[in-house]
Amino acid sequence: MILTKRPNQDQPIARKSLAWLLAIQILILAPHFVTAPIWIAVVWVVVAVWRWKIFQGAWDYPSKTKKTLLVAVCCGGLFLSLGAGFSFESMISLLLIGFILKLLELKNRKDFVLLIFIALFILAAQFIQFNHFLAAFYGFGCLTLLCATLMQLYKESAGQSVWKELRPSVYILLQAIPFMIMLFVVVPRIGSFWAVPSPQQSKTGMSDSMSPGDFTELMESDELAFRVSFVGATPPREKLYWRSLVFSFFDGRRWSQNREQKSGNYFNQASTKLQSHIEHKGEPIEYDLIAEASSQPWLYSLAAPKHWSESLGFARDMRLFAFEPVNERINYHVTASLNYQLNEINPDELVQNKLIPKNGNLKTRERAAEWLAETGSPEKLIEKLFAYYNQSFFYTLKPPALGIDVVDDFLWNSRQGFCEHFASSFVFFMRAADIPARVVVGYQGGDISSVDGSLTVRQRDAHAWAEVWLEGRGWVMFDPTAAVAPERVQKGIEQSLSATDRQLLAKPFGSSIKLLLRMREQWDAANLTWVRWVMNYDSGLQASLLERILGEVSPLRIAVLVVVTGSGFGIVLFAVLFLRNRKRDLPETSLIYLQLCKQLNACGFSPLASETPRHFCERVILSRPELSASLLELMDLYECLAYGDNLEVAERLRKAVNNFRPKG
Amino acid sequence: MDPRLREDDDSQINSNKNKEASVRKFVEVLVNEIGRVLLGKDEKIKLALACLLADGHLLIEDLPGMGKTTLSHALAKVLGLSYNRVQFTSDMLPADILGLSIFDQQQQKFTFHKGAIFTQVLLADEINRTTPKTQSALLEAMEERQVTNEGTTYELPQPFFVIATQNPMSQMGTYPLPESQLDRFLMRISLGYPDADTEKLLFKGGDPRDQLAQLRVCLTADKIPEIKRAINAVKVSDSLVDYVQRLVHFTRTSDDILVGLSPRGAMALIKATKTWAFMHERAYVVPEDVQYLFASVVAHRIIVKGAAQQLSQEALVKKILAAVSVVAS
Repeated sequence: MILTKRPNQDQPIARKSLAWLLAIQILILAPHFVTAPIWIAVVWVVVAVWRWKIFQGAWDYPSKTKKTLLVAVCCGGLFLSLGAGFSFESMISLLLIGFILKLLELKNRKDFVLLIFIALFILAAQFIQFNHFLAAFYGFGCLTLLCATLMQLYKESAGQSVWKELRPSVYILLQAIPFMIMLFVVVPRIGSFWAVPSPQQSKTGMSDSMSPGDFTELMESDELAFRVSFVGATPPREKLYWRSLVFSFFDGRRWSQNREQKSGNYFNQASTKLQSHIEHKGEPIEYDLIAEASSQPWLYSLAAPKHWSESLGFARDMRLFAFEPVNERINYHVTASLNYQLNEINPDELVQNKLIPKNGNLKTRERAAEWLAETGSPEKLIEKLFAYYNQSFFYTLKPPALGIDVVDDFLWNSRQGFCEHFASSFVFFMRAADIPARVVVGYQGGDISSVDGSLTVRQRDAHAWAEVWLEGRGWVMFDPTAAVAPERVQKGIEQSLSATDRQLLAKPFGSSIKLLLRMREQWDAANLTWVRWVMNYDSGLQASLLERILGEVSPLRIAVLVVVTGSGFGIVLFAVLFLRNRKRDLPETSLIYLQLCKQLNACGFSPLASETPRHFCERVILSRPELSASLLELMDLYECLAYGDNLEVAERLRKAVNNFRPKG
Repeated sequence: MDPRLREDDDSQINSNKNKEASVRKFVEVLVNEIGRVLLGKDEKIKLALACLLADGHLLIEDLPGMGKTTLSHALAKVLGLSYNRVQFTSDMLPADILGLSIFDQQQQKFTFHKGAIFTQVLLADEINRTTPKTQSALLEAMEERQVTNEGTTYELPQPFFVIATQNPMSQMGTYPLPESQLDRFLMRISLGYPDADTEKLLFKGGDPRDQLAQLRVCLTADKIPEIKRAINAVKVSDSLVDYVQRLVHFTRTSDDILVGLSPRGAMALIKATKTWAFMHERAYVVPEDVQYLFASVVAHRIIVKGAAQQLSQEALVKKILAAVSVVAS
């Protein structure tokens, strides 16, 4: 009889274990096919069928030649589909291939355990691509299944329901969660040394120039641009103009940054000097912004920033930027005043912002001069132009194509377009009237969550507007689109469009349904919290959180925190288990027997549930004959009490069990 | 510890043992005596004996020539009981077993001629070969321990004990007993092949029929009520009842079992374990008794479903026992 059952690692794999393993492989591999070539799935199917046939005894394990051939074919496939470079995708794919092919070498429990460990690694790798909180749930589910798969490998009883198989691993992992959270909070964050190159290089987003039609694609995209949570009240959405880029150069068709805006100088000398000329008025607003990866250095800010995170730069056109392209999600904190005035400016810059190409758009130039003469002041001119927009223009995402003189064609001919047409024509008109003006692109508004007031800005909120230099008032923002379609600014793009245009933007499950909208808000809010506190939990956030908990961050205090929370949770767990055991109110005989079992357990014997006390003791005696006398006496007494109902031996039995020292 | 107190306790345990010792001895004698003709099957003999002492009927499921007849005949012989054997066939009628009224010319009236059932040990050979009509007549008599013919009730002799046999292999032209009738049998056992050494001994030995004739009567029938009283006095503690209840509950809730153990089945199990404890000179039933008898008493009373139908009776019983903890914990 085997006494202490040590799992035999060379034992072959049971049918059920293999089925579990194949099922879990599907779940673990699935998320990786976002980046990994899809033919790897075919490899999996082939290998899985092969392994199953091996199990049935129909096919053989592959020979060395076949194995080498398989590996060569797969590596060749990887080379063809991903290239030879050392990229993130190719490394992951290589790992997946290894994981799959290992199935063909799966012979005994040792191999099985190895596969489970690789699976754990692959499971962790999915978080490089997915950082939604759903991914975390998915990961937890897979982890539970992996745990159950590992456990059932060593379980002998067959034919239990799936829930019964899963239950122990669910409990184990649930118990582990508090410790996981504690370690997550406390363990030092490893910085960019471990950072993985961003797998998604081609992102939609603002580009560094703007020509008619560029925005249509953006406006069809539901992709997240950034999220904001305000400290204090959320400002009304019509005031939320998120400035991203300022375009001062126009080549007749395309707006872009001028040479100076692109030069390093423009950034470097900016901040302190410029700040001293800005007069901030009114209540400052504070916000935390989490920007998605865009592969571009420019960021999003409300005018005019007053204080901002140190890692950011401030350009002379009053926008924030990162010093490196944003390849990972970043977050920053900004204090800004919506109401500001720039008192002084480099005269050269004013000249730059009056430049228009020498040729083309003649009608606009004429009208600009005419109207300026008519109205007499820039403010009046703007009013007149706005009135003109308001009268006869039509906001649509599908404007007719424009001729060579885009501004002329738009202003006096087609009169249909969207933000970039309006901004472009407006700024051109101003410059034609010799008034400094520039185009600003960024995002307008966003979805304000009714749950926590946070703001979600998507690519479709992309917008372009204008800034005009007015003597004595500095740069003043004008949004010609608002003159034509004020709903665009007040309610968002979807409300401002005609039915056909809305169809253009329509998504499955049309977001006009209120309940769905609300659910999406909740959803976004939940994910925002997740992103803010988990995905963006870096050493800075860690330090501030620990400081808030501990007062002062020192190794000793962290150690105390770990010990206190760890043991606290341990005590809670113990108490729960203890109370649960108490509650069941076991008969005295059971308690005595359990105590005996505990003592025998100390020497490595534990009873099977189905084992009668006497059988258990006989099993112990087989390997510890010296205990024979005392154990048999104990059993006589025990049976006399438990089954003979002879209560008089109870005291004697209890004493005998207490004095029973099998370990010595 | 007070030494005297300890002595008292010991004496109490011992006195329990002494009380059973005298009765228990004849169990050994009986088993040895029957063991002379049925070699190497002491455990099965004990089971059959326990079944009889527990006032139950026995179903032996085995191939022909395994010693079923020898066992039943030997049992009757050593217990000093009358013995009849009926070979069941498909054209048998209830009257063939129970008896029938025949007109007596001399007395000018019908007189009842008792059938084969009027005996103390009845061997019903191949019970599944006869029609349900005859089967149920027998089974009814087994339950009621009396036969009613034309308004007159005839008591069967005491004790009354049926050993039925059936052949599990050839099912052609049989009428398998329904579960409700299987329930009437306290135990179902199979004898199985003897081991090699025993079989050699068997070959060397003489004709079992001669040996049967040589068997001594070891127990007079009048002692049986006394034994039954002693069996009734065997204690079944709360802990044990709990265990049996857990087992019963498991058979009713397990995914593998369609119909679990009925209360009658559970009570039969308790009754059998009491007898078993008595035969092993214990004044109380221990879980080992339950586990030992579980297969014989319970296996034919439950109906399995699903994949478990592929399991052997033995494996199924093992599975049930393995799933239920002996000590409440």
